[in-house]
Amino acid sequence: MADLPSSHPLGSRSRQEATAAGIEAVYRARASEFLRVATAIAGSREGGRDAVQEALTRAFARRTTFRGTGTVEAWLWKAVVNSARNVRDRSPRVVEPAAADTAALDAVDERRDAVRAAVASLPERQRLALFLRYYADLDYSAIASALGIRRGTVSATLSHAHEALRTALGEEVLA
Amino acid sequence: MIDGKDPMVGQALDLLVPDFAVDADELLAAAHAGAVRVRARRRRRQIVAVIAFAALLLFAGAAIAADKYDLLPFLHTSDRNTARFSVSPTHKYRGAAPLALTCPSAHAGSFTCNVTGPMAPGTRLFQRGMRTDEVPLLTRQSMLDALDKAQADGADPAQVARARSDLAAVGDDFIRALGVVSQIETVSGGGGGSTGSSGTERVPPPGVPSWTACRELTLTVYRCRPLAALTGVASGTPLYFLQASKDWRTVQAPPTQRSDFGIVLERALGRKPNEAETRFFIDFATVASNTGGSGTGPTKGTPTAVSDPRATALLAPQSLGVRTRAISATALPLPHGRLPGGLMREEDPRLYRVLFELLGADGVDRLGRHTIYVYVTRAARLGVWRIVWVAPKP
Repeated sequence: MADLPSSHPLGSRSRQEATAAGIEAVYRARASEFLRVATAIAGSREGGRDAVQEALTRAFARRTTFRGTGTVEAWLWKAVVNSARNVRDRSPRVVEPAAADTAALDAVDERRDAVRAAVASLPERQRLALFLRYYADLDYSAIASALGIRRGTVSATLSHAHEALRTALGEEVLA
Repeated sequence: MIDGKDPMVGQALDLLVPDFAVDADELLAAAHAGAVRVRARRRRRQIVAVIAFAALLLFAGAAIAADKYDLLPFLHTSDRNTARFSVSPTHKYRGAAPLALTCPSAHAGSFTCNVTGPMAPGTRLFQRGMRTDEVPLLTRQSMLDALDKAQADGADPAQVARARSDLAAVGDDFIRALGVVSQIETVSGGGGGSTGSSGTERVPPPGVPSWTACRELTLTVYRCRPLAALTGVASGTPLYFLQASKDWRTVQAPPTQRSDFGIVLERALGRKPNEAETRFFIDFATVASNTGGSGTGPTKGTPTAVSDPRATALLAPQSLGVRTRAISATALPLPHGRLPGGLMREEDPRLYRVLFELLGADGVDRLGRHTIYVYVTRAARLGVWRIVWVAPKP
């Protein structure tokens, strides 16, 4: 997670800081990452948007339930991940391709399909850890908090995920 | 490998979900509006109302202006972020309801707002929270029709007969009073709200309403009025809550106002309900509710909170607005499927069947025994149990 001043809501550990303004500040600072991770988990941009909106709605409505045991951002990450998983479970979808604007579309599509299949074959914890590490640039502690696991487990999980992806995709796809 | 990242894996994942631009405000506005609806639902759940209230909303009656019954004092609340108002059972608004309005001069009277506009200094931004629900009319005939339908739907004939007999014994003034009270609605939340343990809340500057009811004048211009204490709001009217701004002040939050249906009914009626009216009140609601007709069902909550769930459930009859004596509370397994009132299983609710007696004015049981089903949950912060939902069926 990025370094933030202690007075910034993202960096706050105080229960009092789980205000609408605090949540909004965290969201504005991380909107792109929240949506990207939620999209990856939910399987579509629409699902990702639904998930983030749902998580935000719950956060605003239930901000007094924030226990202050972590940061507001960690609390929101957990909400976004859970919400995206719920959206995915409600309506499983296929990840939409990126905008088709290159001549090498077929090759890109082929690689994307290979990556999609490889990522889909990973255990869920590995998948979520990858999404949070790469799409949101969260550190191990933040990933551990969002997924409700120990920090040491994150390291091992990511390591296994890297290894599995490399094996599944092969150097030619990853290169 | 760089800092726990594999560049090649990163490139591969970029293929899967490329970085994309985001309009943060769009989702934020929708989330705020959604949260207001959630809080308003919760607030409604917490309002202390008699068991019959929601069921009575199903049926029709005479349309009466709230001010005729001197309900205006009741419509005023001490909480700046709460608006209590009455809904017209006869007027409907069918116009547009944009998601947000900017209002150059929101004040106590009516004012105009624009669907889009520059956020100039002093301009207030309102976001749509909800639309007002329809309020059916209440009449003696519609109640009789409802009892006929209840019997046709399988309600206990003896219970229906008793309710019909009770209805014959109550006066028209009582039915009109019920009609008035059923039109009252409360919304709360908005841009301010409680900041928690400090017991304070953020409120707009004096004279600036936190909630407004708006209707369209032109495609882009709307006429809005402060919602607090407004009477005769058309059903379907969009309600907007004010977004907090720098000139909001922090004030001591007023104590939670107890919205006692019994008190409001007394004001509308101009006297205390007599025994026949009270009995009809309960019988009719029980019959009507047990035979469906409403997706919402009777709701009630109380500010009562104790350290034992069963003892908490036993307190439920006290908040019915009539004299009662609780007899027993029996724990029941939670029903399958969705729980009522938006209750979540994660909240670990407990369900009790509570048997109680209705007492006459002299404290003697003359009005029979009744059963209600009470859900209680533990308030995590306080460690006490409180009533969150009461209904005539589990």
